[in-house]
Amino acid sequence: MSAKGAMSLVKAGFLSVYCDRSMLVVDFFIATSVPFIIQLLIWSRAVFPENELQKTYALSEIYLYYAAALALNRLNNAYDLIARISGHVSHGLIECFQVKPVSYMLYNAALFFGESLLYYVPPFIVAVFVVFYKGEVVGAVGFLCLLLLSQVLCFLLGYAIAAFVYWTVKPDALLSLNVIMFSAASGALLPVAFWPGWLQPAMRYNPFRLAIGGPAEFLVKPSMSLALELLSLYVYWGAALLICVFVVSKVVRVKYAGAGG
Amino acid sequence: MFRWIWNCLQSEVRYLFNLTGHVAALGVFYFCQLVFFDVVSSFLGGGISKSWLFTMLLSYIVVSLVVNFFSASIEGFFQHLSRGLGDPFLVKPVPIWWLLLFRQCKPSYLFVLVCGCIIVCIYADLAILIHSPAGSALWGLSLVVGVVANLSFLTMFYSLTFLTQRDMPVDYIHSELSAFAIVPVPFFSTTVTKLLISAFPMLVTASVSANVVGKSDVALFFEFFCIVFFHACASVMLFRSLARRFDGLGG
Repeated sequence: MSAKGAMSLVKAGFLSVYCDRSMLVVDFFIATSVPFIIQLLIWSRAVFPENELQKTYALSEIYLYYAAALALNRLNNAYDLIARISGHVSHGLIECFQVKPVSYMLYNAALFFGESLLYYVPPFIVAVFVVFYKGEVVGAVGFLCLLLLSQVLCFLLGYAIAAFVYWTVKPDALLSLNVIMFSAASGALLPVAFWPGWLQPAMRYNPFRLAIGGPAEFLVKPSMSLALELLSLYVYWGAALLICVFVVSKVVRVKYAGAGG
Repeated sequence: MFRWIWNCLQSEVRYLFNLTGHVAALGVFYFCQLVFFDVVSSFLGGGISKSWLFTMLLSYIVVSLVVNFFSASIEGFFQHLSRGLGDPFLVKPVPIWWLLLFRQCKPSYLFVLVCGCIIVCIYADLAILIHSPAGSALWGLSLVVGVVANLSFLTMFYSLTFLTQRDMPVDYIHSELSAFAIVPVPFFSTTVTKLLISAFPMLVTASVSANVVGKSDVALFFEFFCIVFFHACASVMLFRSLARRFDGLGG
């Protein structure tokens, strides 16, 4: 696909979000601020034991973490992607998109990036805030770099989840799975360090944490070991999801009847 | 009416993998929230006991699942209206409220409700609920009132479809706002609480129910009850008056 074609798709995605103003206002003012206010109210009443305070986060760091994580939660939102792909599959429209001179995955990727362009603003504001008030440049720059990686991973995750629509036919389960995993397992509910011990591994190594919790953690507490851990996890999950997507597309090409349901 | 619920159930069962995935995802979500509250409760001091918090969570889960059972139907109803397909509803020999509430409901949420209640009760050891029959009866009543509060909010805002004649993201707004219900009421100051109860009673549903059981705070409950009654009447009147203006064409 030529760069010009990709740009026009990105532009189409951007405009489709920009034109739907009412949704945009709801997204920015209600969906991003309400969870943050809830966490603010809950944590403002929290009482920390002394030894706990040194080990994990201070209160201001918790607020910063939630601001970053919830802004990321709005940015890395694969809901529209899954809804679109499953609509194509379950209505039997997917062949129309296969004949385009663009591979289906790139077509969706371009639209996805276009749609999320506007949502880069809140994480960017958070990063600028950190640079000006805390003087923490390393964390902010690393955060912005990880932002791009997390966006790629989020697209792969959404695309892989959407592949299940060949099996479930209706998208309800996938959409709720997507929303729930991105809000519960990703670290938008609690930082990884706060989960009880027996849940720690599941919360630390799942791919959803990379899309939301990981960059936010790096913003709050930048360290070399965390960066290495996150980067290796990005490589691992990126490769795993790519393989998964290619295998599914090979299998489906043979078995799918194309009639829809 | 039961025929409709049965039909909705059958249409859901037809896509079995979809249904199982949906139920499993919801189960994971509520389990994570349970663990979240377990962690948070160890940090919280000052007048909030653990059992109170879990009672609140249980009330929240029950109310939100029952509301989801209805809200899918309400959303579908108004979607039909906004596309200009509302007229066939008038031909049916049943009250329009039944159509609104049951035509496209999702019985799978009720199934999740039972599972969720069992998980919470086992995890949190909620013996407090069966402490006194009067208390648990009041608790049940407060849950019903909470559901009515949510439904009247939904109907009120969806009724604006009659004016705007297009799809409105009320369901999305509601699901985001109703997350406020998990913030315990003692966290707000008294004036904010009064303001919230009178303006958006659905935001304090869970705390009111938990207060009825945990602290036997009946005065707050009756205040809540009166306001929800008022809101429900207002939403019914709004629905009727706006429905008369609607030309049925959609946008």
